[in-house]
Amino acid sequence: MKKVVATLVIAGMMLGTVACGSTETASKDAAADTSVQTEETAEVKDSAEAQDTTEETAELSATLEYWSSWGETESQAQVLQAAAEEFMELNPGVTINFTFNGRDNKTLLVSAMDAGTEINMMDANWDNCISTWSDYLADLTEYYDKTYPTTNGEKYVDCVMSAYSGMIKDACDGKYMGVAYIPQAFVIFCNKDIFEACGITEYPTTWDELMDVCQTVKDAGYIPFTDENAREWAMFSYYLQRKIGAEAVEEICYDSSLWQEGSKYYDAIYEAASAVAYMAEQGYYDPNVASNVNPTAQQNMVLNGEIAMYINGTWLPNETAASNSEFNWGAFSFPTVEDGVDGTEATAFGTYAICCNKNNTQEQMDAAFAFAAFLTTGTYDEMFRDQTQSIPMGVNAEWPAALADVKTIMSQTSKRYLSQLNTKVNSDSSQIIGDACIKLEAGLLTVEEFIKEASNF
Amino acid sequence: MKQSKGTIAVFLAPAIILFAIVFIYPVVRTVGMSFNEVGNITADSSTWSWTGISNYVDLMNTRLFRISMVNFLKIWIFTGIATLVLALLLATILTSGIIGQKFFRAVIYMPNVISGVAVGYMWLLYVFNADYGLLHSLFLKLGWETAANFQWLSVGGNVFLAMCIAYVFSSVGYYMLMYISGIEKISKDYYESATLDGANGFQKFMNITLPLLKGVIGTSITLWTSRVMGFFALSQIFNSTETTVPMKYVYQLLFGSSDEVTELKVGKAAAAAVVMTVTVTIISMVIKRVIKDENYEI
Repeated sequence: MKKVVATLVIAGMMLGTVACGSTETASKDAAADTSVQTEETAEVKDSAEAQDTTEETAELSATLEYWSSWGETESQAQVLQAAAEEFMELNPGVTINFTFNGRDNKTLLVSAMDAGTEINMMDANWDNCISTWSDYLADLTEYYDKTYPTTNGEKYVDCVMSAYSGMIKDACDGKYMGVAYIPQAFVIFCNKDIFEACGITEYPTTWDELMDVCQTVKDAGYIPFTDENAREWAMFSYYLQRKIGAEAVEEICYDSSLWQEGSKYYDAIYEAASAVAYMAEQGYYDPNVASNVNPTAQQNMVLNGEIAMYINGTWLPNETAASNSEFNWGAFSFPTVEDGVDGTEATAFGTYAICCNKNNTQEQMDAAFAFAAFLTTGTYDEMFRDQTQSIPMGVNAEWPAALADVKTIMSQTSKRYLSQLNTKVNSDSSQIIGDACIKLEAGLLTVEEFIKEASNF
Repeated sequence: MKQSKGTIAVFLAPAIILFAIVFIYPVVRTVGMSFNEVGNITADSSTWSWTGISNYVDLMNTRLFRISMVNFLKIWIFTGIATLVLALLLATILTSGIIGQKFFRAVIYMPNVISGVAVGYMWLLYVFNADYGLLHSLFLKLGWETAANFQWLSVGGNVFLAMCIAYVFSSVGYYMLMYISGIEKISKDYYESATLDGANGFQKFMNITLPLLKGVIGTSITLWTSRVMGFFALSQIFNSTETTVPMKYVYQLLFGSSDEVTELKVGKAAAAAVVMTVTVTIISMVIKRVIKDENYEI
């Protein structure tokens, strides 16, 4: 028995030695490669310096494990894969392996990293990157000041939209902890054909003008607004944020006493609720609004041609393209309200972001950012735009026709609301407020009943 | 062969170690998290900060959690009665020798192999939709306007009922198969003897099938309890306060939403999970006491 055990131990040691030897050999080979590449890189850098540029060119060498928030069949994932293939052809030393987890990526990634899974790049909604992954993210600030083959000799930071790169920077004390891509905005979308049929030539900029537009649309036999159980808070929340600001709205989502008569926000809450109740009374909402379950409202809007407006995100044209790709989309900013603290300069917007693991090697960091720059500038930025109808990141890129009006909104935006407004911050209250909102829109609650129900969390 | 304590320990060790890792450790960790403020679900315990029972107090003061527990009880009782009675009825019919019983078994079981998300959207978009759903179109063709305009999915009205109907549809096949296997174990002699004594179908069901299925029914109720506590997909899809169940509530606290900014409350989610586990355990113990398998010889 002892002999058997001894034999097994020796065999194990030999296997271990062989394995370590292999690793060592591989490491030495890799080190030799790196050494060669370093020399080559030095030559390239010399040459690059002669051309007065610091482009991160073809000498990248790394294997990158990229965990993505897109599903494998989604068009975003297909663009990512196409971009990776071309990037690997241009940079033979780089290998990019994708894992497409869909929206669960946010929740799966932390556990996987804690369990020791090698993940070098990851993407998700930026706000979620910050809230969930902040301990794992690398500072990418130094890379923003470099040039890349697709930035035409300009620094990366100058090639991408400042509204979106700025929100990345603002969230982390001035550090760029991610790279924005597939940015989004949450605005009022409209059916331009209905607006034209109703003789509406200008978008409303004040609440009263919006009510006039609703009346005109209704008089012409159309339904002014639709909504459903996935965006039901939007009208009330946008109104309230215009009135008292985003921070105050967050406060009332945590403190039900602020909904009570006599509190500092009661009048504003009452006014916002009254505005929505007025719309319900006037019949400005889809009669089925209380029973619209996501994605019913958006499908009805593009298929029936009877609904004029819907507060939603810039993903809306892409999500409905399969049902009606010819839909004539327009969009405008949520209007100003009387004596509101914010105007149309404030917009709810967000972005997906590509982040890097802070434990990446230098080679992995260089390759990862070069790939992120490759994705968000030039051909693949435009491919995202064309195949997913999303907002491009490039400052000079043309926007998709369906989002042309959103470009105007974003050009006037200087203040950010959270991507789907601030009433969603507290998971203990958001569902209750949301349900009360949809009942208010359906005319099932009076203003007083709404306040009582929405504040009961 | 004489078994020494050491040999027993060696053979038991793999099972005990695995059990400790995959069951005891998560339970102990979850209980620990429920008494702490925790950054995220995988945060090292050294980063936790002790909060005592405040997560439990906060949880009991949260209306959405209370609603979710009431919804759990409503689903457990009402949907449970509908599902288990229907399953028993179908099992009885499909063991009575009717033509095509294998085909019907397969068809009724089919929703169990379809993802809960797909079942949910099928009901939402193709059955309950107020504009082009099956029920709307069917009632309209029959000229029943009131029924056609019934808002199945209206918040503050019928969305809970609609969700329960979808849940019964997707669950009934599973329990039907359980009951079928139980019924098929009952000796045919009992039925033949009862037939000779002049018993009708109902009498045979009440006096033979039901008593001899007592153990299976008890097991099915215990399974139903744990399945309802794990009920999630349909709640997420039907998405309203009225359809919120504990599992959805815990998920929201733990992971938030993919596209919205929501504060994560991991310690409170752990407290909710502990409450859910205790609830299921208590219900299972009560059921075990109430429905005793009397071990008839079948």
